[in-house]
Amino acid sequence: MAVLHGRALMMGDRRIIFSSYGYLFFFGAAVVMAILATGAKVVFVLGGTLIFAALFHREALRLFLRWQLLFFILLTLLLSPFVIGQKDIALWGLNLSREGFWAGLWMVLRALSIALAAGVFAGAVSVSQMAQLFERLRLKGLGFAVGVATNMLPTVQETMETSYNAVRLRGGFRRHRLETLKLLLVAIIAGSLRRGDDIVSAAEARAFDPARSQGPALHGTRADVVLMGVVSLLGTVLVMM
Amino acid sequence: MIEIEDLSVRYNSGEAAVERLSLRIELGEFVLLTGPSGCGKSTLARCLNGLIPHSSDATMTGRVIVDGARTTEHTVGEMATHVGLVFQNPATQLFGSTVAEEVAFGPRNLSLSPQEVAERSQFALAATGLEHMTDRATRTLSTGEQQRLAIAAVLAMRPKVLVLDEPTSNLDLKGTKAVLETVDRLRDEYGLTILIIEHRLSEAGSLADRVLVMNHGRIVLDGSPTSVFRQKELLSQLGVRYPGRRSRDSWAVGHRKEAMDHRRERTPLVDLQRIEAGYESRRVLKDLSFAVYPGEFVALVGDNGAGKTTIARLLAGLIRPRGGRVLWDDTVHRLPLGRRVGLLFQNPLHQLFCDTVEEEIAFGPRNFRLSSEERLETILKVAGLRELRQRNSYALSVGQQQRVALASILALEPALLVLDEPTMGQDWGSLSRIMDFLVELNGHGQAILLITHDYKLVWRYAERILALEDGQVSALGSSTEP
Repeated sequence: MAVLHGRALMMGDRRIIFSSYGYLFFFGAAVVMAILATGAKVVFVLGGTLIFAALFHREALRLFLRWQLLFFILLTLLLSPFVIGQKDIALWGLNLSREGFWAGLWMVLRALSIALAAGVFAGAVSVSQMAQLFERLRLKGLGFAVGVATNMLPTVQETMETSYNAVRLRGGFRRHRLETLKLLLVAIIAGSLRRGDDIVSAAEARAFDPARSQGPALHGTRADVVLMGVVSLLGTVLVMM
Repeated sequence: MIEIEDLSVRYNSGEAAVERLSLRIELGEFVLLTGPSGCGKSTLARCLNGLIPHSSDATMTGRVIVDGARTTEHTVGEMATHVGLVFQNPATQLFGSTVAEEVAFGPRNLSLSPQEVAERSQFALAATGLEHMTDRATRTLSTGEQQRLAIAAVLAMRPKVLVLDEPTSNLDLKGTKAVLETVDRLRDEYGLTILIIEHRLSEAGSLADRVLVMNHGRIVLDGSPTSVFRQKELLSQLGVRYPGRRSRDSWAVGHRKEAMDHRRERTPLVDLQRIEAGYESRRVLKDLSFAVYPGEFVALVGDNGAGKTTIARLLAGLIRPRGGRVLWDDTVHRLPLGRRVGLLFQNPLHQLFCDTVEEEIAFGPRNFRLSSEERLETILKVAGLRELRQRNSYALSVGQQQRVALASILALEPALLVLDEPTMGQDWGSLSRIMDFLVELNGHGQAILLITHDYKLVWRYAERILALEDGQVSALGSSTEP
């Protein structure tokens, strides 16, 4: 019997571990099913995604605590009866569309399924695993780009902040705001391009060639195969229903 | 091990970087290469691994052979197994998310078997003392650790020659010591031939067998450290820093303690009282108190992460304290942000925005409605920038850029001038010129707070030292070279 032990799902004495392939498959399947599922079937897609997230990556459920998401749900549910379909019902003196309400609801559930699946994938698969995955999927050089981008982000952010502060301390935004913004953007872009040259030199000095780059070995697990089988079966049943 | 014959390099912009240079470095030698900024040191380093001529807009003539491989006959990737080049800025040479991935990046590019990649990674991490950090994310490492990782990463390519281009310029005393000890061990234990480019000679000079001094693309001095450092006059003319009597690895020594209330009779320009400050959940400054008095030249020293830059940002009004008070003198308090404190950031390029030097200097006063021809002319004159007024700031040397950035701040006549690590990428000559200029300003009553790792700069220029450790002032004294 499967039981939850700490953050891992245990099957007897064995821990169920998916590799990056498993999580990627789950993400892809959730997106495809959320798009293909018609009407109320999307409830099953969201239900499945919720169960998977609760079992294997509970942190992703924190998505529901974000006010931006709650705002999006509320706004879509409130607006869609007014803007979609024929107005066929009157409520508190307002003409609304039943079709619009249901369309808005399915739209929200679809978006939640995709956002949750993306949250599970992004949270469960580290940046380095993602980079390896890209390399393994023959997207040559993309893994390297992901690594560089991750390492460079704090530096780029720091540079932008320094330039912004420098221009601010020299009264840049007191007058001529647009001109100052243009100067600031040019300085930031020029700085990034110069840094790009340094990165290329350093990568070349370590024999990097995007056409030949190879990431570390990435192994699938037995749990991935089971997951792929179960998700494919449920997906087929859902589409055929 | 390294054989250079009649090497000349000219950039396509027309600038000659290396002129008919010949050099021979033997197996296992530890060579220190120094010289003023722009003399061709980094160009020479790039010739050694083939980045010049293969990946650069430069024309090269002559012959460069490293470990038996002629650079023009091999790709940069092939040369990487003969010579490892470590660059100045660790941030632009780390590509992996974790330490283990970073070290494995090079060997994987050589299409080696997973076992060979693992063996080489293990060797490189052990040689640099990073074997206990394999799972650490590279972005969480200190700058010193990142630079050691950059060394490990090139070492995993198993080169016979290691070239390091100013590897300690971004590091504090502790980081510098750790990097140089690592390099020294690589020579001693693994027999690597080392060529290190440095402006700070005290530390690397004590490890080197031989010192080369370059000027205008040529080697002008070549000999043992003792014989080269004896040429004090020539070194001074070239703007090369004469090494101190001994290198230093702690701020705990080097300044004389004195009574903390030596200026209590005067009203401080700014008084920081029991300051708490930080970023998000990180507390950087803890119960910090100190004052800067009118007309003072104070140095704020300490290791990376001690909180020096946070103090600069706090004084400039870029962040607010979470606790405590920043009390400004009444006349200063009324000034707007930017006129209270002039903050010179570490990298001049991050604070230059305009097309010409003249526009750059006029930018601030124009925004504060202080513009006047007279003010502009005065600043151009005192900063020695009159002849460069129509030049593009980006086309100037680092030293000149730093001077333009400084002049553009001084044009606002700030009450307090704060300089955050102004030494980066500067040779002693251009640094001395800037510092002499600051001393002159200080003589006219300008209060200055200098933030630096550079103890020689502190000894020579600062009137008072504040040593910062873990967000608190750990020592306070006046500068004196022991």
